[in-house]
Amino acid sequence: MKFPYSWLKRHINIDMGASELSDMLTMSGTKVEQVSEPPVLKGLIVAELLEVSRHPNADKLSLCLINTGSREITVVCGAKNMKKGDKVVFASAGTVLPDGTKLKKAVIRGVESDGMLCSEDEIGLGKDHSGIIILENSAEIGADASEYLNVDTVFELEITPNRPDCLSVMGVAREIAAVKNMELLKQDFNLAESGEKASDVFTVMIEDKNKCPFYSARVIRGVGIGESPSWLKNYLKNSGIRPINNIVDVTNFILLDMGHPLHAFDMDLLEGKTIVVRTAKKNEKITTIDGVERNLTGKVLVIADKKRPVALAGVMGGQNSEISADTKDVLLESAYFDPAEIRNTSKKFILTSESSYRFERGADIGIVVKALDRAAAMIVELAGGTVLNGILKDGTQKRENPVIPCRVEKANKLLGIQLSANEICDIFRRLEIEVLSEDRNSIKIKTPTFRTDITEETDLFEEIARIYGYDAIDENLPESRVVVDGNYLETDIVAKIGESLRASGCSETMSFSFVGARDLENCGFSKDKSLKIKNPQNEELMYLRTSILPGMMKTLNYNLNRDAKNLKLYEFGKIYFPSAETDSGSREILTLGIAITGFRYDSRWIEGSQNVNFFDIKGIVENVLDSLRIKKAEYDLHNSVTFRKGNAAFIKISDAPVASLGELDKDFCHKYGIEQTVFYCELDVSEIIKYYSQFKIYIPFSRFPAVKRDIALVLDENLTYSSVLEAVAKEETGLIENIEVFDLYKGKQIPGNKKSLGISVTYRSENSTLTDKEVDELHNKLVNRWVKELKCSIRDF
Amino acid sequence: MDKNLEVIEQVSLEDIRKSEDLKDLDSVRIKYLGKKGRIAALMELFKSLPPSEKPLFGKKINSIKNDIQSAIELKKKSLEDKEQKSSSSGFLDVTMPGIARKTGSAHPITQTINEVITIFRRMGFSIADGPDVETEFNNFDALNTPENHPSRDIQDTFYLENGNLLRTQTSPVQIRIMKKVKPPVRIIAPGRVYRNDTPDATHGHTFHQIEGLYVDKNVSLADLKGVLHNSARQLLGNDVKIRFRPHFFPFTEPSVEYDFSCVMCKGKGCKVCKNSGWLEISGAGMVDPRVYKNVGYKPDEYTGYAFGMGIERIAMIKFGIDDLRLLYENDIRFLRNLK
Ligand SMILES: [Zn+2]
Repeated sequence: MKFPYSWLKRHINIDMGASELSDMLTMSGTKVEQVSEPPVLKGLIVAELLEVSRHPNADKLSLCLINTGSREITVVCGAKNMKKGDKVVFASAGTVLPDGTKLKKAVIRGVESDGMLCSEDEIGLGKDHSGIIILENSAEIGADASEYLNVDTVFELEITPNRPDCLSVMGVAREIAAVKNMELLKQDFNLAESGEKASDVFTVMIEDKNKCPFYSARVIRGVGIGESPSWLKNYLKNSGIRPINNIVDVTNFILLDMGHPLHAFDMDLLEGKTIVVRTAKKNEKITTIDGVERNLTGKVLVIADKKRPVALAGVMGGQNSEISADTKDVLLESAYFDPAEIRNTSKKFILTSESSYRFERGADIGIVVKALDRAAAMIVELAGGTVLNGILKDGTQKRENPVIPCRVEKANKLLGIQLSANEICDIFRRLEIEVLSEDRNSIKIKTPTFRTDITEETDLFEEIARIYGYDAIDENLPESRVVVDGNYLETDIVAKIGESLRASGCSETMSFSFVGARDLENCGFSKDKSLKIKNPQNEELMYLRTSILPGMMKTLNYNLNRDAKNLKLYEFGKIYFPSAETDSGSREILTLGIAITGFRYDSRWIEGSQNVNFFDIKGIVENVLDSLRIKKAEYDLHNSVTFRKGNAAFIKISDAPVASLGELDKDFCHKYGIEQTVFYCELDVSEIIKYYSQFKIYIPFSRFPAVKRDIALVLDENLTYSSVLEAVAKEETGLIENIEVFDLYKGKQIPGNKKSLGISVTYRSENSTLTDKEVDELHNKLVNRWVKELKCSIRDF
Repeated sequence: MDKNLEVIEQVSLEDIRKSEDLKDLDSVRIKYLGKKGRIAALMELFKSLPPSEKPLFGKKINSIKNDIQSAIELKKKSLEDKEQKSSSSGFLDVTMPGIARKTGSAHPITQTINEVITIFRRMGFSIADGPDVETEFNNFDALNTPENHPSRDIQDTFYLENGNLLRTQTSPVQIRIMKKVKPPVRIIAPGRVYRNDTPDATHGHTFHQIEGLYVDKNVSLADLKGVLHNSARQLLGNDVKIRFRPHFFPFTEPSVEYDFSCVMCKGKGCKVCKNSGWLEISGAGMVDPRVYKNVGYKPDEYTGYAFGMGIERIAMIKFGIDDLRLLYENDIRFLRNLK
């Protein structure tokens, strides 16, 4: 909500600076979004236009002869909206405009111009540059023009949805009055009724009193439609509302001033001299004043005359009964509508207005008639005419406001303060909350009609806190009971994995949970087995991801395109699958993706420029498993659409698959615009957590010396290293401490379908020094087993 | 016999002389002085000599052994000298980069979440978790959000075809926890949340929140203020101030928005804080008794507070990031920058 400071001062006698007032409002719950200070205007003079003539050398320019009070001069002007006799704003040469430009004498198309006639935007008062400013005719020639200009400080407030009572200048003033413990200024007006009884001329009737509990109206005869005075126009403009004519402007003034929406009909256009508040009938239509024709199917509440709807109740009037320049008699409406009803209408037609905005949040039923009377008086004042005797009305304005108890101790405990019942009552009185009874422990109150948000005791606690001031509440660090309901495991494990990955040189990325249908397809997932968003922002964000991979590919592509060619990345995130077993219909699995590409080493000057390969990604994953003390991981060949055939593995722990890793398929990479070879691993973190061993246990090691024996086995290319190890495991002597591969050779010196594995075996006993003879025996036995079981031969060096 | 000894001595000294490096020299040592070396063999021979010959022969063996030993020592020293000289004879460029695997960086969001988690763990909070896909009940109804509240609109919330939604806040975790656990409950719940906002410098459809909840007997707003201020000081420095502004949330009453004093200008007013001296952080408040009713707590027995914390907001303040989109662009330069 927006309003100028001077308007606020009509309601409360304050003289705070704008920023002080802003702070005060913000800290009591009416947040000030913006304060616009007016420009400083100096040297602008009221002048009278004596004569307007065409510029001799330019069609689009005029020559204006003006009287500035001290002299008569001619200025060149590009505007078209002025005429002889208008009072205009003149800036002479030498005047400094708010934007800093200093006006100079100028010769425009051969005619000398000694200054200019100002438009709003030229002097920083608004955006209007459609013409020059025309002042009210009573402006005194030669006077300082800023006295007649719209120079005001404008506040823009954010009003929370629970406080419709603050959607008016009076409402904001009421807040200030409560906080500063001040009185509001009375808004006196004089309403003179005369002539016929209104009820003899017109009738109003409510059909559905649930949707419209109270409807009132007045008849004003013989008005003269015209422009509003400039003070009113300026108020409205500063509040973001376009002035229209004196009748409509009055209804808008009351809306902003008191917060109650009104509507004015041209009474002569209402058929049957009657208003009925009813739901729309089938096939009825209305063209609202915004020019849109609306089909009124459904149960929309309308204001109708005898024949047709003339307004969408509480939202917008109809063109068929709109105030026009020809209007003579006015029917002025002031009513209260059910908030839910207005919200429905507004939602149905996707139409919000200043009126619907207030009704749907809850208007003050207590001021319906007062607003009507005040508006009627103001119309007579500005547009003439007479207000007929009596108010037309139906329904009841009475409302049973809730009586709410407020326990003093409870309030103090919840807020952490120490107020007496008396002090709390004082806060309530300042808020116009009626105290019905009061003792030391308990207070009973009744809320005013404008505070529809207060329904329970805690709502009162908030009022106490607000007015007491949150700043005044002391901070306290609680002596709290120890709570044992936490499970840190997942957080801690994820942190450990992250540490391991970063130590391996990987950096963490973060991509969105959304993917497109194409991503699912690329990764071999079915759309039916994915969760689909009903209202996605675009096609690329239509499904919930079922893998970290698509996001990772996009990240790789982004960086490769920016010349970062050596990348080691990881991302933790949930992947999502439909599930019938959870209340939310989804199974969410915490997953880790790791991708590496480019050079292996950072220190290429000494280590060389090799590219990463399968064993780099495997090594990274081994480190991860190691950081969790997981020892029993098994690797097996794996085929999938995303990995290059024969170049990927999956990892099993206790027969449960936990990860897949390998070289990404070239075609797959091309789909994401990637040419480089990429190695990727995706790991099910939620599964792997199960195998984490939290405790480290010391295993004693031998103090006796070890003996190492090296050997090279020549075996079939397809035989795995793990089969070499399996054979070792069968040697149950307990004397083989370690096996290490130190060489893998394929080439000229051995047959083509063979490979040579250089293996170093460490022998050690826990309780004695092994003799050469013993080791020779152990080693021969092991080598014989290998030769026999793996059908391998021994290679001579 | 004597001649034999002489030959051994000569050959050994020759071997020592010819050794080109320490490795060579070591094999020479093993050849002569090792367990199975030439001297050891002579000792075997010595054992079989008649007693009369032993003293002289023993003396000679010892003397040869000593000669070889000292020759080896001498040679070793000269070889070591030579080796050291040869390596320092070339110029060592100490400014060449060291050999190390460069370590990676954690994402700024992760860094921020971990920091906030650590702070609250120190104050006795446990970590809780909830799904990203939520029921409308947990995300809205149970949190006392009116049927017609605009946040339920498809312009604000992502709905799934299965009728559920992507949570718009971490607050539904409150509901899940309170339904499961009786007070005292003291948790924080970090996680992803989603809103149908068009991405710009300060908005995104995806962001992260940390939810805090503490329900027990006699929990007060003063406690909430204390805990949030304490966390602010640990996050942004000891002189950070906090302020509460009244606000409205359906599931807390009283509700506040809380601000931290601007760390950039120390509260004097600057571009970052839009000259207000304050940085808006998030919302908080005392849990509305209507929420207790929804989870089966007795409203008169317990009080508690809840608060939210926008992780992106904190990260932007902490790291001086001026555009939210940087956080999800995953530019490696950005990520390494904030290592
Ligand atoms: Zn600042």
